[in-house]
Amino acid sequence: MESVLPVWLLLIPAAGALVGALLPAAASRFWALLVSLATLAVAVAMACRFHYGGALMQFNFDGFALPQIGASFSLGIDAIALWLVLLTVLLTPLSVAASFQSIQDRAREYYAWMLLLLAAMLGVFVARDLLLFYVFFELTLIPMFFIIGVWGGPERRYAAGKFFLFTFAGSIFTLAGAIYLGLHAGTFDIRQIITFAQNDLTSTQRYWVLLALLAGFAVKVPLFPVHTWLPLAHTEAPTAGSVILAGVLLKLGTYGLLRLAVPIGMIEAASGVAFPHALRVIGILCVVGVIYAALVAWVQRDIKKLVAYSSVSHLGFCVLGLLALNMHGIEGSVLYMVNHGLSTGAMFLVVGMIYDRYHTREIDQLSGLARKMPILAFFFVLFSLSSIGLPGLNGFVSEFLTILGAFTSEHLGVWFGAFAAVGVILGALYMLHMVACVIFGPLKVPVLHEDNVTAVDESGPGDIGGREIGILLPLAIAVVWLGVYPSPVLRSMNGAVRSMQQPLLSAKHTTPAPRTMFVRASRHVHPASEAP
Amino acid sequence: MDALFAVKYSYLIPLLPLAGAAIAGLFGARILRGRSHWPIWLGVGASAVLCLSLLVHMISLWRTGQSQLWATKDFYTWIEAGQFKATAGFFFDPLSAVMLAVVTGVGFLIIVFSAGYMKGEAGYYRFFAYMGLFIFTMTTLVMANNFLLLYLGWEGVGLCSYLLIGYYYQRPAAREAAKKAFLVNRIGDFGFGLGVMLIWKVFHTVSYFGGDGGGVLEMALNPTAQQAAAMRYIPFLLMLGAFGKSAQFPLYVWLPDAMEGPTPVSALIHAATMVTAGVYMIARCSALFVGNQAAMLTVAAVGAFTALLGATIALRQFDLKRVLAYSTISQLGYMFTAVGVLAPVAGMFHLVTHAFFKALLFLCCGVVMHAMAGELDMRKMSGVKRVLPWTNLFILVGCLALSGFPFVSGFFSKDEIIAAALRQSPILGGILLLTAFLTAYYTFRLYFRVFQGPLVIPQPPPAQEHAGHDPAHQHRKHSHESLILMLPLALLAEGAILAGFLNWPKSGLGDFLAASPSIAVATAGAPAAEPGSEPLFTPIMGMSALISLAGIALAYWLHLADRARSDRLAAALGPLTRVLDAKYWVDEIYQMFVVEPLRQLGEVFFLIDQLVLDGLVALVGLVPQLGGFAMKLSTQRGYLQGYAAVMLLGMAVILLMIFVT
Amino acid sequence: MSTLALQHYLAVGGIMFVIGLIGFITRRNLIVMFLCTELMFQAVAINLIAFSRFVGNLAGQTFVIFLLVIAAAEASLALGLVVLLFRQKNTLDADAWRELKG
Repeated sequence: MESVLPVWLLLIPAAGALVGALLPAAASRFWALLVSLATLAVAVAMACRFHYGGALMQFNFDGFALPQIGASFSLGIDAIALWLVLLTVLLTPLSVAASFQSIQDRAREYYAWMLLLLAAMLGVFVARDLLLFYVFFELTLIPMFFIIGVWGGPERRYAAGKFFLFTFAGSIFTLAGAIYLGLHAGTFDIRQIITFAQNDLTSTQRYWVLLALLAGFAVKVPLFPVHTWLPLAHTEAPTAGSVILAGVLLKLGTYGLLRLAVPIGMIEAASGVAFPHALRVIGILCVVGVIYAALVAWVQRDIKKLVAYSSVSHLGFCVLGLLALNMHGIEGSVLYMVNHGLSTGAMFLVVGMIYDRYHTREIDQLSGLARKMPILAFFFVLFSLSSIGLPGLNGFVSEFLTILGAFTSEHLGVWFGAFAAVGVILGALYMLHMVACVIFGPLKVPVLHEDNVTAVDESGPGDIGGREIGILLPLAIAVVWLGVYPSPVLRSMNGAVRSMQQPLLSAKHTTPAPRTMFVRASRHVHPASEAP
Repeated sequence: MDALFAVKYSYLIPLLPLAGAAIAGLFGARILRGRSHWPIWLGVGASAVLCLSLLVHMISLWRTGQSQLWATKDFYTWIEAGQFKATAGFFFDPLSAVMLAVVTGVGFLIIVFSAGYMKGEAGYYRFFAYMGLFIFTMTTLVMANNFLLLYLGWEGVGLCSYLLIGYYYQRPAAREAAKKAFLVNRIGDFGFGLGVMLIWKVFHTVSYFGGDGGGVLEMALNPTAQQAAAMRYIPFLLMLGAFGKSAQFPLYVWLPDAMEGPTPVSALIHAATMVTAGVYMIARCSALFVGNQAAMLTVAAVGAFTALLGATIALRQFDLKRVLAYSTISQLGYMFTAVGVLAPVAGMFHLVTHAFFKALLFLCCGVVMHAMAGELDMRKMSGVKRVLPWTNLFILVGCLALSGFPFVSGFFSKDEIIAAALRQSPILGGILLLTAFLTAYYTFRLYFRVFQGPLVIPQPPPAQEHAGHDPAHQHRKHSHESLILMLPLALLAEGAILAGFLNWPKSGLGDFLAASPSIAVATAGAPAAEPGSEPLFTPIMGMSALISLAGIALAYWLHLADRARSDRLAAALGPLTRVLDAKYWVDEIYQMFVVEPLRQLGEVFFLIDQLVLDGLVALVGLVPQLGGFAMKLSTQRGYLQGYAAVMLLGMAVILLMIFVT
Repeated sequence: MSTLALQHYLAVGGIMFVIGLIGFITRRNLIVMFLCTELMFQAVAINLIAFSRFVGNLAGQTFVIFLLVIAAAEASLALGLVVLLFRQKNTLDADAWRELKG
């Protein structure tokens, strides 16, 4: 299925960014909202026309090619990428709308960067070429660097620099791995590279390539112990920056792992010698990170920092699901990416709304907001519960599946699942601690010196209004919907996840017990010719 | 079975209360206000009617001798990933029908009572929205046809419990209690969740019964050798969840604190329904427990121990609701002992009777609390029967039932448990008999102190108002026994008297429940015959009647005849009194050995994060920085000519290399 | 006396280049340094023309036309900059701008 829709997906925000940079500041925010909504419309059109259960890669677009190095501007989307694209285009207009009041100076540049960021993030998800993937992957750094560095908190320069250097240093390894793969395979087409790596590399080669990819993406995810850039970047970034950072940018790391490392790792884990051990070591790092970050989150005094550490803890689950290398683990992990984006993104939005009113994020300075802001309190508690993983809300489904994945994985085993599940208890611990302090208890808000002698009780900033409810409501609906009826999402990914295992299947085919669930066998087919 | 009206429309049973909750939550604050109870009344009422019709229909089917008394019904696929699949579907059998009738029936009465009790509270609509949500999650828990949906209900009721305990969220005590309840339950749920995972790992399904032998509970009866080996651990994991939810040792600590919630919440959630979910779950999963001696013994032992522990702590409590809370813990211990000694029928029977009389007791306490301006300390009140004559009558019924007074409901159900325990082991039975004596004593200690004797009514200073109450409400002294409060009490009292006759030997509750595929498994594995034809039965009855009367007599002697006598006795037993007053220091032990170390660990990890991890990164960053600094000193000095000279030198070197090679 | 050969032209170009180079390195005055770069430029241009003439195609001469245009543009820019720099510090000494560390 040929289509130019993915090009529109990139072109609209990119062109919008250029045009927005020239508009007057007052108009730029509405322009940014308009452009991001247009992008949302394109993505929704893609989702509607997506043939679920059909061809793996759809909406293929083959632009110019560089045959000398085997790279090409080829776009396409599969079910996994589709959900992440939808997440991205949903979060961006919301965070643009959330910036309307908080971003006042240099608004034009700000919104231009936001749109450019949108284009770059979408590019990562729709790229079918490894080099293109890498270019977009790195391109996301630049707008985020400026968003943190210009519109951030008091330590924004340091935070932006640290963010950039950390993730950039990590991606050097990714680039090395990618170039190695590309040169050996003679092409940068991701699918061909994967097939090549699965079949034609030696075990040692695969091992080192995997380590390079893991090292690179681990920083972006971020995995313990290379996570220290995240709390700082989150705390210093403006609200929208935190939302996008937690919601989408962290997912680029897990998405990269899923796209590149998981299919190769499946072969290597089944046949290699050294890699299964490495897998377990990384699994231990994930579990340690889950528990460690949860405990650190518990002792935070700053709400944003608490949520940031919770992200580190949650992403540990996500990677653990990928490492399980079984279908429910991987599908749970993909769903985790979406869910974490929704609930943590929403959490940052709510915290931003509190910050807009009281200019503080200190847990000690806030208490009993439910009294003053019942609607905000409702959303705060809802998203906290989603983050805790309460069944019936989205977080549970993915958390359960990832832990189940680790629990039943032949590479990890029950103890990984059991210790990861401890993180679920601790997740409730720090989240409820925050809810109890900020939302419940006797009312206490900082006295705003601008309005000097306002009585705390009745005057001062009020509950969230229509615009803010409009921002949170789509997320709340998604949170409930994905908790009650996630199976269409999970089912749509079956084909894509299964295709990662195919070479494994053919490798196992010699053994007498083939699994009947793998029906598609098309690993030598060029993706472009896969149209139904 | 499938043709039954209530089965066909079973999705309405949870959804109607949920719809009521949604309406109350959305429109309660602005539009409905004081009428917010209506959507919940209607929703839960309709749901109760459906449940009762289900029960009645099922009983009539049973009487006609239909062999298969169960049905399972899937609505849609909830989660499907790889080979893992969990549906949203319901399961109907006598066990779930009885449980549903209790949940919605008692729940409806309590919700009617609440409309009178909570009148004028700030956040009236919120209360009813939570209550509706609770009925939704609880019925889902009961009706689920697989373990994952059960888990949804399981955590869902935990959430409602959290929200309702924290109803007076401005009070720090309520806030902390709510958090504690959720977290302790989470520890249990951790075990439960792992149990579900292990179930899937072993059986590759999470459904109870497939009908074709493909369900967990069917396969568990005839496991393969490989399954049998892994299966051994499942009951222990599930048990942890049950101990958390049903407040058994060591996870009982949240229940007494949960009394911070409004009294109807204590009645509904923390006495009648939610806390019995653990008993229900173990009864439901009997197939996994029978044949696992170690697991059964653990359940029975923990149950008996908790029964005794709760009863002893209740001896020295002075807060009305806390006495009842510890009593609930103790009574739940009875139920666990019952399911542990393969007498789930007795356990379920006690669950039903307990739901009636404990809900009754709590609601009566609520009436007392209103009349006493929020005071709950039994040392500050006496002779309340003069102000609350009806309540006096009702609470007397409740106390008689709880203390096992002959021919009131608790008597029958407790006796069956004691009899079953004695069959299994005299130690278990002995502990339960001792507990029965203590129960009778502390129950009537409460009754004699508060309702009998000279009239004393606390007069609190105006500043000490019960938080959240409308002050105007407290001055209406003579409307404490309005019809809307008394009617549900009367119905519950009737239930508390009559529920005991449900299991009258021959074709009673027990035989009906035994038709449930879950219970049938356990009764088949039980060591002795049906309780009705049991030779030990009659002597036990007489013995426990005597014990109960002795307990009541002791309470009379110490707390009504001469109240100073009890204080002298307490002083004489100094160390023992101190231990009981401190509730065995369990909370302190948890604080010192679990919470604080974890907190310290968090602080240490945070320091590690800042110093060690960030320090390492800074160190790595320092190397290029040092290099750059050296370069700056050596080459980047800012002399334009210097740069040009170096450039020249470089050119010369390059040219030299070209010419030389 | 023979006719002028290629090496004569190259010699002139080389000498001019070296003069420019030495001047650039040894002098501190911004304008003189700028003149020296121009000198080096023209030395290269002479080389190009000489080669063009003796090899017999026009590419080199075409290049020089470009080179002159660019040199003119660059001269106007550079002199403008020099004037600006002079206004800042009232000196033409290149070392006055050490802090730029360029």
